[in-house]
Amino acid sequence: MSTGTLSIADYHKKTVTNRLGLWLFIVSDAFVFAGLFIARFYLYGAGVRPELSQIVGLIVTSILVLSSFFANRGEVSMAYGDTKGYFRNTLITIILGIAFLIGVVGVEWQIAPYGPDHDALWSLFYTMTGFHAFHVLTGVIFLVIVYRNARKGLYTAERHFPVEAAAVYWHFVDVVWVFFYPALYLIGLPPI
Amino acid sequence: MNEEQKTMALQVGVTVLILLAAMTIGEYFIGLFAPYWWAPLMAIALLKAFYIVRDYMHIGRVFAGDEAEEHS
Amino acid sequence: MKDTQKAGVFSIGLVRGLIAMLIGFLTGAAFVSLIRLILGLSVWTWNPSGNQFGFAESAWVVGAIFGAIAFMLGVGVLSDWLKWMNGQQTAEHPADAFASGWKRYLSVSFDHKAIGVQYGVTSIVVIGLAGIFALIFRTELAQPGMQLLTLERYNTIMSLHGIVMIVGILLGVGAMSNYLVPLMIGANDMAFPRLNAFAYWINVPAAVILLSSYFLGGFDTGWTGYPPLSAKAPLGMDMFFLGVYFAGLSSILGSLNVIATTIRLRAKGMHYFRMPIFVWTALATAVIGLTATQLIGLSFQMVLFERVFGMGFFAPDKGGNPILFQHLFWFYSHPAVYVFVLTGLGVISELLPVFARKPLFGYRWVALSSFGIALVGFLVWAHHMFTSGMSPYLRIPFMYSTLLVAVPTGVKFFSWVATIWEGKLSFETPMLFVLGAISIFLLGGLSGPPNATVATDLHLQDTYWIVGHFHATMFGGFVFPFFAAIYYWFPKITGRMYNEKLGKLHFFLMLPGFYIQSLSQMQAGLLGMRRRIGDYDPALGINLQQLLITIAAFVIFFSVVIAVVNLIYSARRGPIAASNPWRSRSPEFMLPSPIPQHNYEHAFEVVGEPYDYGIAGAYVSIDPDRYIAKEEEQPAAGGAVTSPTGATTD
Ligand code: HEM
Ligand SMILES: [Cu+2]
Repeated sequence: MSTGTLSIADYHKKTVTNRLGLWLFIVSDAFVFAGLFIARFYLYGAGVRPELSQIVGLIVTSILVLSSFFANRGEVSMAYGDTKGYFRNTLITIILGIAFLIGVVGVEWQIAPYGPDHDALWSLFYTMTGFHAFHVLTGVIFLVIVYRNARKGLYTAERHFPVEAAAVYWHFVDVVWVFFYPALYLIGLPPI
Repeated sequence: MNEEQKTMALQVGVTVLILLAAMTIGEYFIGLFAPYWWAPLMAIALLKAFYIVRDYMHIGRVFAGDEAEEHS
Repeated sequence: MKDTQKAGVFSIGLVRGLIAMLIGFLTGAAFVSLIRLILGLSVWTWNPSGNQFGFAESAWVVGAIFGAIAFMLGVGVLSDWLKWMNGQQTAEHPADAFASGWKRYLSVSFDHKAIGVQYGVTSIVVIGLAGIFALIFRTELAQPGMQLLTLERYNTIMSLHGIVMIVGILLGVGAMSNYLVPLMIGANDMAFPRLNAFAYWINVPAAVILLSSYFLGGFDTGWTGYPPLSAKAPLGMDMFFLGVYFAGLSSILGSLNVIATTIRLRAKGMHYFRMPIFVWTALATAVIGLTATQLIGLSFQMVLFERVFGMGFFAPDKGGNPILFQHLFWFYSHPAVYVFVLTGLGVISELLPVFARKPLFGYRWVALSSFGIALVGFLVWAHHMFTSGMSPYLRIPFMYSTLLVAVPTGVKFFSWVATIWEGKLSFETPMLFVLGAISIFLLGGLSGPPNATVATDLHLQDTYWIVGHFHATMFGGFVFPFFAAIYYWFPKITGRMYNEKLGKLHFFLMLPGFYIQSLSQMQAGLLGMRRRIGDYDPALGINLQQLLITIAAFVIFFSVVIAVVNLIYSARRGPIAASNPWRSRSPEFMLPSPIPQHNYEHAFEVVGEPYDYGIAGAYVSIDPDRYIAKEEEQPAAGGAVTSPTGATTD
């Protein structure tokens, strides 16, 4: 970023602005997911859910929660100047993120009994998981870019807003799943 | 001093993970045995989101303003 | 400030972008076609009864998306971000490719003033285009029977008129908030200049995609795009959805920038209740734009998925429900009408004190009323659905919440009237437009409650009355204030004065034109004219009204042509403007005209109230002489240098 030449005070000021921008973006993005979430209950209420593998659901959910944990560790490490810790934890986060993608798109989508054009319930399932998976994908790309730049030695304990941004975005994707998991896997029973 | 703070920050991460894991397992079993309990499930989801937003996403930093200390 | 001498048309960002867009489109379409080939699906069809457009629908859709991305790459707004991704650094305020001249506006610039002008010019062009669509279908409607168009063409042109106007209005709102917000709060640019440029440029592929729908079979749903009709409409429908989606993206990112700028970049001492009132309205607008816009994007994507992947959200035979679309759609589109008008209302509140030489009455109330309107506006969306078949018990709460909007809107009206009261009014063109806007917005506002009251709306819904209602609100809330703003800030933008006589002529043609148009629309509606219909029964007895509306539409269009001629001519040849022609207290008027490149070289401090006209003491601690003297010291290099919109400033 164009910040290497800024004084610490200016960098800090800019970070506060950038952080605000990031959060505004997250708030905005949350409205898309809220819309899908409401659409799911508007159409099917709390009595019906798609027929999905409970065990796959639990596994991918655990993977995402774990990845958030490691993302947090990575960010904290960087904040205290422990770049090694940052690299290790971020790498684990990225791998878990990819595992989540494989679990949803590579496993759940393949073993699902119906396609997206079967009925509105399955349309919702594919759209909700698809939008979320797209965000996971962008999150992974974000993490990889920041990881690469960190390898070039661009970030320090004092100047590492991109590291924080990637982690916060990643946690946001996790929060979305916190709501989508019960909405798709837990509430209601498959239609007979 | 710095090390101490770091350990504390990491400790928060571990605590939140344990909470999240416990709640996820709880959710799973509610989903298995009481799938019509949407209200408790939503309450758990809200609680999980609250911990992530507060402790992992550090929402407090957004409102901290210019003078705040970076590490938290 | 040296002109980077680059030769050839390819140095112009817009040209590069459009070429890249074509390449991107072909790449995307070829990519999907390849996948379809592998899957054994048809790739190319050309039969008049089915798909007449060669590529499959999915190929067109993906092609359009690729085209938009390629445009952004080609025009060059992404290049700094790409460098950052690579770990490179870029200059904080990179110089524009062209320091001056019209080419500057056809290439990427990160200066909020240049972006504001880009928004403004694009807005006028787009609104002019939508106006031409209106003239075409109004000519058709001047008499009963079909003379000029087929019914399908009528539907497409009428629908395009609506949505292209809306895009034009959003661009106009972007123009005002981009140009004015940083200047008014004492910032030298927006918080995120690159994002700002991105938010502007994405409108260009959006407009191209939206207009391409005309050539791809059109669409016949009106601007609302309700399924199930929109799930079956021709290929043009996809382009409508995508075009609006990208325009919405611009709205979201622009809003993000306005909020961050207002929160973070205010000058010393400018706490929230000392900001110029326009900034409050821009902020309230941005809150709506940032959040609600996502839902129109989502609803359009869902229909797009229905068309491309055969999904079933809104298809009753698949367990879907078309009413869901209306909820999602109106959750944005009602608040969106406040996006259209709030900044305009801000312009009214901003200009009235200047031309009345009196403090703005009830500043705090007016400031908060903008947020009142915005927040209540989130709770009223289903007033568009009283006849849709949603649960009848929902009608009552939505009726009451809608009527509640009248309270904060009333606050604004009382403030305006009280500000005018016993003021020393003068009637230059901007003031005329402000007063015209107030009278028209009153008509628009008063025609709202009958729609909000369930008993009357059941009869009014989908008639020309509604058309009259929202034309009145939008003329009063956007069109007139927008022109007021253009005339008012024109000297700051170009350094020259517009022609007052032509400005007044514009006003005195547009005002009666508008009243005849809108009142006739309302009357025709009450007599039984349906909206969005290409023909009507002469027995309704509305032939005269229809003719009047058409004539009025031509008069309005003609008056806008006069305005455009005036603005272009004056930007080149108009008399040199003083730095503060209106004796305003606002900080931007303490700077020389046109405004220097990086706004405020010396940071200022707020020392008084913004609207204390007629009371001693200044608003901001700027000594205009400090800037003026400096200008005289260094005359512009090389004699005549072209400045914004091609004016010569020397
Ligand atoms: C702020 C300025 C306003 C704007 C820009 C505006 C704009 C619009 C637009 C565009 C429509 C038509 C939508 C469509 O079906 O295509 C509409 C309809 C409506 N407006 Fe307004 N409006 C404004 C103020 C008001 C007010 C103050 C009220 C009520 C107190 C109101 C109540 C309604 C209702 C209930 C409808 C739905 C009518 C129907 O379709 O049956 N509006 N308005
Ligand atoms: Cu409305």
